[in-house]
Amino acid sequence: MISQLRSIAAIMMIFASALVPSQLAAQTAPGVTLTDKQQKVLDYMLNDWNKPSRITGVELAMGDVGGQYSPDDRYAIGVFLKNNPRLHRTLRTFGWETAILTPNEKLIARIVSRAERENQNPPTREEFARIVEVSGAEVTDALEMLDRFGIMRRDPAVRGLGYRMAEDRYQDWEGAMRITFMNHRVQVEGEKPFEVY
Amino acid sequence: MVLGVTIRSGWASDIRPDAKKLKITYPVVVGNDDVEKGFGGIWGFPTTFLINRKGQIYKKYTGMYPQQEAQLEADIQKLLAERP
Repeated sequence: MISQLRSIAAIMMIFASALVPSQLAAQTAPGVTLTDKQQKVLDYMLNDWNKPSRITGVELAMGDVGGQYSPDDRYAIGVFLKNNPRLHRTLRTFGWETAILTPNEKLIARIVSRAERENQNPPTREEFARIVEVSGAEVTDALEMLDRFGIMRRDPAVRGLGYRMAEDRYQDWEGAMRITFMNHRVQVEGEKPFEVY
Repeated sequence: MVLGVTIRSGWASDIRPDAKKLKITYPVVVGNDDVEKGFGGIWGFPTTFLINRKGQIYKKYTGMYPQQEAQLEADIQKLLAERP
């Protein structure tokens, strides 16, 4: 490519993000089957994402739809979204991670990724419990879910936490329009809460 | 030559209708993380790079601001005036 560039007097390269609300409707994705109640959550999310700037995640969508949902339900919907980027431009633009993680999981991932970038030890589980203001068991649940999704992985060498980011791209994820581990929840009076990018 | 590079905007099939709608006439390609890293990271949109004859980044402009067009034109003219 460089040799091609040399033959040109001057090249102006413009990096841009051309995101506009997707007009794509929900589609049936092959190979994975969701239960009816999981499908309701998926439909709610896809409909939400058709609205400007919306990126409501699984956890909030389950709450908005109502009913009883387990971590396994969220995992199933998450895997479905991960495997089917054709479902919506929001997935193709921002990635599946931001849509399937809870705010606490994102916060833990943010802190661990930053610590790794700066060659620091991440907080221990006890410190995370204080930082995130949840119980130690909830920190463990969050770490295990991040592990199930392949975002973090167990590593006994990481003192106190026992987990590290699973891939380099999860260490170095920040930048313009990157919201992988970010969370922006909005509540408008009289409306159900939603999330935006 | 002007080349557009999209970042985090979806697939080519997502971008093609946008380019048409915006009446973009220059080539537009889909960038990935490697492209972004290769240019030293993108921290705002649009980010414009002016590349010289040697294929090196001559200048980087982040965002849009008053006088940017005039600045760009002056910089391009300066590069064009340089001997091959």
